[in-house]
Amino acid sequence: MTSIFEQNLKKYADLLVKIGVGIREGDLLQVTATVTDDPNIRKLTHYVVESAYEAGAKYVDVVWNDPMTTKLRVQHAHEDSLDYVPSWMVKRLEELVDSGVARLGIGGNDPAFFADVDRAKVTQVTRATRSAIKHVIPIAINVNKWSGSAVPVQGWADKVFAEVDSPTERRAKLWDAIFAATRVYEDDPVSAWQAHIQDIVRRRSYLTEKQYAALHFSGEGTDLTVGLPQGHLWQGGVLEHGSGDLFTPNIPTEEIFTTPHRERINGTVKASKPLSYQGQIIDNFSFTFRDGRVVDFSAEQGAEVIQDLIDTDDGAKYLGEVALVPYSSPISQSGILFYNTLFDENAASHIALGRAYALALEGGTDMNDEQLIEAGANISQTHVDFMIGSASMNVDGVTIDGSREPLMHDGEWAFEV
Amino acid sequence: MTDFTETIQKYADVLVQVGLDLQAGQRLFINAPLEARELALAVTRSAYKAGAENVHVNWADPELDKIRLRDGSDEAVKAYPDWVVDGLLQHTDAGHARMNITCADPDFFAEEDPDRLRDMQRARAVKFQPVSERIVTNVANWNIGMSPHPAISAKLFPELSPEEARAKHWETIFKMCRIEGDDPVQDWKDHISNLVKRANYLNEKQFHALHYQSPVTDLTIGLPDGHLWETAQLGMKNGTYPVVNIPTEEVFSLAHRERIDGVVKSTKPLSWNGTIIDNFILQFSEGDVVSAQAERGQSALDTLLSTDDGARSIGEVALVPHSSPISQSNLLFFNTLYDENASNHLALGQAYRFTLAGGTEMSDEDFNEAGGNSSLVHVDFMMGSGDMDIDGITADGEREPIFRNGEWAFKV
Repeated sequence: MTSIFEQNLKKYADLLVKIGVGIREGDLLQVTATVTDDPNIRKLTHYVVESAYEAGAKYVDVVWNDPMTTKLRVQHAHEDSLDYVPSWMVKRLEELVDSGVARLGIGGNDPAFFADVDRAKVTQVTRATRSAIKHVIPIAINVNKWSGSAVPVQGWADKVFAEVDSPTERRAKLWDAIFAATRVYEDDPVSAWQAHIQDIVRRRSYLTEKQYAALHFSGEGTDLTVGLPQGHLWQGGVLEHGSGDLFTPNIPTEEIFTTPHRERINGTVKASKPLSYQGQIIDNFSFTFRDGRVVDFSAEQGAEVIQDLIDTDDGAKYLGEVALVPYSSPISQSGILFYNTLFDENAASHIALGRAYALALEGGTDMNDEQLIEAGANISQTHVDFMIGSASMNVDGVTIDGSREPLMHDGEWAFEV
Repeated sequence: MTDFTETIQKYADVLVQVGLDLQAGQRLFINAPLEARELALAVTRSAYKAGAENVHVNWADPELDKIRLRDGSDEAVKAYPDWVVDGLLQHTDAGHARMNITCADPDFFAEEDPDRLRDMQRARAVKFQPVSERIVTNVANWNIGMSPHPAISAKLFPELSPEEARAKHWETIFKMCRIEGDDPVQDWKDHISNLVKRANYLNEKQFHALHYQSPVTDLTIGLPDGHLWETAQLGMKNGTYPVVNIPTEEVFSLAHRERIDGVVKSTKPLSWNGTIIDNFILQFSEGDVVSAQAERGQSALDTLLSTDDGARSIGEVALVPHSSPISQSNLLFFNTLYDENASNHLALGQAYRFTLAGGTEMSDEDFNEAGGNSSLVHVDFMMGSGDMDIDGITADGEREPIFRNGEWAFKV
């Protein structure tokens, strides 16, 4: 007899396998899982492997990663040795990627894990690994199926539920929050996700077809017009694999997003949730834009952090993403700040300072930076999302001839698909 | 640091500095199941402290094999990716050190489909053949360490809660592995040097035979000309001298397969192929078992002895004092690494070729001709006790005391 918690863990595993990485008969799956003291993370991994075999996977390879071994290496190993990557490890990935392996990550991000070691050495190790496998990454993410997920490592749970006394209880609360955010508590989560994704796909097709010239956001402290470039594409939910299989790189996902026109943003926008940026909190802040550029900002907390952010480069003063998320979405309803983009960016309608996604523009993935800018897509080294949606937010689509059509009313979708 | 963290770190230091003889600048590859995480991390730390250039932990999850057996297709059961072995070979051929942490449930696969299990194990064995070859030819330093598996902790201490049993199991391992002093690494160097001195003494003596006597045993075992007494400290081609087993208490050599006469009674249960054989008496004549009687496990004993001709003779003779920690614990660990260091023991079956001068270069026939035994099996059984005396008998028939009342009887 499995406990309710184990049943939920199993449902979460099913979602990751069937909706996330989209495993079909004959697929090869590589799972990269984090080693921790929490037996539930190992159990989730076992459920994922079971679920993949049940779905007909040919072979499931599990790579266990213990962040502690990396930490020990960074703390103790000779600096000259930090670039070493065993060639068989690269071969392992090459073999699998060439055979079309689908990849699923089961990991948690402890924001403070490397706080007490030399950051530069951590970067050196990460960079060496990245560089050793960079030739297979384009195939791994553009040709093969992939998905990520998040599990409550202690350091992350400590951050999100700092007010809870017991460390075990913090992890339990984070599991609960993750299950709620990923629709695990629905009677049939896989069907619920299929319906959810269908809705996202219909809405993004509707909006792409409309080709609005701009969006107009109005709400408390917000009166903002965001121009959209010609040929903008609304994205979100699923990606399509070469075989026609759909997969969902992020679970949860709620957003439908596209690229704004970098020079056609005017007005003022007020953030509706705090932003955690490089370990610091920015709260109750507003930006004013003129012809795309930030011309003024204010913040109750973290104004100097905003200054650092927009000083990153010229593109950091322009918008690179606009995303619509209904206020009733599970993450928004939880009211929890997850300190994890995978969750937080699905909490509300949001915009991002910095680089635009080329895939949100027709032909964008074949353009160089100059061509992207020419087409209206922003270029920057950074990309920072912040939440602007609320229960009182209205969003209109503005057509080329200036007429307005309601897209969201009081934070909810206002058009049928 | 808590006491436990400190002690496990000392244990890891012994495994790295004595067990592996890890050299500064060497890379280390650790095979460890997830159940052994705390030890694997402690060994990683010790290895870096000893100057390792890189430590890679290859985590294994035995549960995944079980899932594959139950839910995987036939193809999945037989699949064994090349990169696993490639990785091991790359490390070994480059002269990197290797440590296996053993931490397994002996009954883990008891309920699985035997045919699928066999297919899976066969696929692995075939792929691992090149790795095994490198291990027996002593290419680079290696070592086996042990971490408590919950299933064994429960067998050892059935009356305790899982947490208490684990704590007690660790405590036992620390005691067995001589980790309790202030400087266990130095204690181990002294211990090994003592064993090596005893081996050297016995090698110089070149006794013609050993005579074992106790109230239940009266056995004479001939030793071949050129026999070599060895310890678990082995010389590797990369110039290192690892102590491949920790703990180790034994000094061992080979018997002359045709000169074993008398009677021997086991003093500890023998766990063989999942069956316990206990309180058994073997009668030898001219090197062969002529009668075998067990209070428990008679048919398993008969099966063992009928494996082949060599299974009825002795391949290994090992001397372990009765006062050694493992002997004193009176526990059966279900793991040869520990159990074979529990007392004086003999092994039925195959002799180690390196325990005979020139043995590794001999043909099978020459090895047998010289007195070395050959068999598919090599099964150790304990026969020492606190009231056992052993004499060395020289070629001209003189006797010298080797053991008295279960303890070494000569000074080195």
